[in-house]
Amino acid sequence: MSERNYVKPQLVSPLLKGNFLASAKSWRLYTSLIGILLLVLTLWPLFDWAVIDAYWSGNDPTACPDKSGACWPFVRQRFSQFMYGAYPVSERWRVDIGLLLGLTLLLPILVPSVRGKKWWIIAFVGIYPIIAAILFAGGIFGLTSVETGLWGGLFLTLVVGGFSFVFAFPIGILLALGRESGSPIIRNLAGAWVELWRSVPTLVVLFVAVIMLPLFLPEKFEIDKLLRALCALSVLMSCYIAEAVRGALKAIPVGQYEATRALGMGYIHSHTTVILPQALALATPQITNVVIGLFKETSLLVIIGLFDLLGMVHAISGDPEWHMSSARATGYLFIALIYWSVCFGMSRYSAYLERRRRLV
Amino acid sequence: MFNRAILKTIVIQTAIVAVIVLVVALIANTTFANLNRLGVQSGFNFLFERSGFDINQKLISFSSDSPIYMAFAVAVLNTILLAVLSIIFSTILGLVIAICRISGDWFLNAFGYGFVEIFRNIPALLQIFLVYFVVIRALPSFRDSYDLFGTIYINNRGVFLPSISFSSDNEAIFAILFGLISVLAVLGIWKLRINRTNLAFNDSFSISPWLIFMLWVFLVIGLSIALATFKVPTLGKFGYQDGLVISPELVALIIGLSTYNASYLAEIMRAGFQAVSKGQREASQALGLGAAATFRHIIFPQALRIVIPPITNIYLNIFKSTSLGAAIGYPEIVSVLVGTTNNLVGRPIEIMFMTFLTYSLISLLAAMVMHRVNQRYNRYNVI
Repeated sequence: MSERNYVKPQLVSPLLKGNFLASAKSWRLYTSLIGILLLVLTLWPLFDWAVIDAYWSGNDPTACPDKSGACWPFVRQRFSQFMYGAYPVSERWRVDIGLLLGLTLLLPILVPSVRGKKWWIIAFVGIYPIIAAILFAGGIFGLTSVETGLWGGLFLTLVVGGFSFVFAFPIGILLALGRESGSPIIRNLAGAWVELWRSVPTLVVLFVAVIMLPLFLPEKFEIDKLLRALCALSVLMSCYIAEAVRGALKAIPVGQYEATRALGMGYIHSHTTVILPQALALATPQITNVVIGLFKETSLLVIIGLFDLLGMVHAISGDPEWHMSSARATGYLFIALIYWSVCFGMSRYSAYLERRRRLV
Repeated sequence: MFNRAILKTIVIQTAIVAVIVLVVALIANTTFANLNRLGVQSGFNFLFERSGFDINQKLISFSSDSPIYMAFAVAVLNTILLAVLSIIFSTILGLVIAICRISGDWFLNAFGYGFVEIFRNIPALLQIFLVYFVVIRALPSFRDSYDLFGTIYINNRGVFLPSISFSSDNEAIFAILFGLISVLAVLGIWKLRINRTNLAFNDSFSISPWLIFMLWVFLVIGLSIALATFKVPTLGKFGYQDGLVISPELVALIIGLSTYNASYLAEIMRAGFQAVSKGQREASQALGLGAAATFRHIIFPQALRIVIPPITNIYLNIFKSTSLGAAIGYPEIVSVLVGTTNNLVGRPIEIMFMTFLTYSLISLLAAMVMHRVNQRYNRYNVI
């Protein structure tokens, strides 16, 4: 944002340029000193603990005899559990392939210059979940069945995040269209539904699913905890996505709607070919923020007893063998780094799209 | 008469409503069948039964003999306490970080940027776990607690503050009344000041209202100290006694929620400050206001108008995030209702309904209040 000068620059006192806290020259030194002090006082102890005083070598609990520094051997020894949970070692290639396939399908959707996004999105939302579910759960095509109770770690976090997003995305679009629909009944119903779920904490939605969902379904329907959590997060995320898409729908000029009507397009035709493609492009930064939120919210699964990334580390680091070491703190630090890199990466992507849109 | 288009919409709407009603009826039917099969009782009469459990942190009196609805009240108050404290601390922290970010100083800016990017990209629950399971566990035991001026003690069982108590109820009531009058006095003086400003500096007061206010504050503080007894926590055999205890759970939640949300608040405030037009700053400089006065009288009030709606969202988020207390056993709504009470009485539907309703109502109420505040601040909106 370029700022206009309202007064000739040379008339404005230098006091107002730049550092307003340090408007007098003599102050500038102090603000810098405070800044350096804050940086050193916060970063140095952490660096000291995590790198310099840390225990790096070894493979067993004797490698870290005390809590004076981080215990990286713990992370190294339990790394595969952090990633896959209790998923059978011989079957882990299925997880790798499934996740890799997902990333490959996601890439063309994320890169703005790729054409034919519609087909990639349909492939990712419509076909990929089926392939992934077969790969991960097994039970057919000669794949050994792996029950969801064994899933865990980063794998479970990604599965829950990915699947609930895939379910929530179409529902969210429908809800957004419902909220903008001309019919007062549909508009109010969709509005009430979205606002209702948005007004309660994620944890309550998770508990609603865990406790109530089995009651809602007929007796013979067994629904495992992972599916219940997926339902809860999907419902919640669809409401947040609906808000993001609705904002974008509102931002589309009325002329676009009028033009489709002038061309004699029906509701479905105009929305699939003109309105939604524009709205989704506009809403992508917001939707990315929703996904970041969703990724962080998956950490709540530990409370309902699932072993997501946080749950897995929380459970493993209670191991009495590592009692003397700072295993727990190191485990938390390690997954904090994982969460941080994923979320930071996505937020950079969102900012990149935002910048790109402003340039166009 | 209907034309085709209207007929079509009516048919579609009726169909959608019919489908929704059908689904709801189906679910209700299955649920009743399931409840009958499982032999689950229904109704809210359990609320008046004896609770049979105790809650370790309570703002009102509660024991295992109290009815369950009192446990609910305790939980709601604990939730509100946590939300209010987290909101206060995250706002202060957010403001400090925002000022760092816009200060223009390279190092302060780097600190602010680092803070924001680190804390908003790590899940709030992980931050709470880090504080609760790592930082607080690493604090010394009560025998060698950190001692602040001999009145505040910090150890791995929480923070121990002096408690304030009055020798009789009359004195307590007197103190509360006095406090209320002081609050009203402050509001009154504020109003006077505003009116005075509107009179275009036509100063009809011979005594500064601030002088009266300061005298009043000294009177209040002096009288409260004279009336109240402060009980400094004392070291007993099994820990500190007599003081006001802030449990480690509450400390962890306040710190975790404050750092997480302060990062969002800081970004909102920074954007708000930067959105205030440069011309405003230049004009205030032209009128001879200094940097501090410019910030306080020109930039801050205008930025406030811009940031109120997004800040409302964050405050509502903080309120909802108090449910994370259930993860570490802080007795808030979810852990008391869905955890303890539901295990005890086994009325999942009623309890989930109550939890849902409590959160929605408080969220709705807070949203309405903040909407009014927003309208109030935008009365004289000139930008």
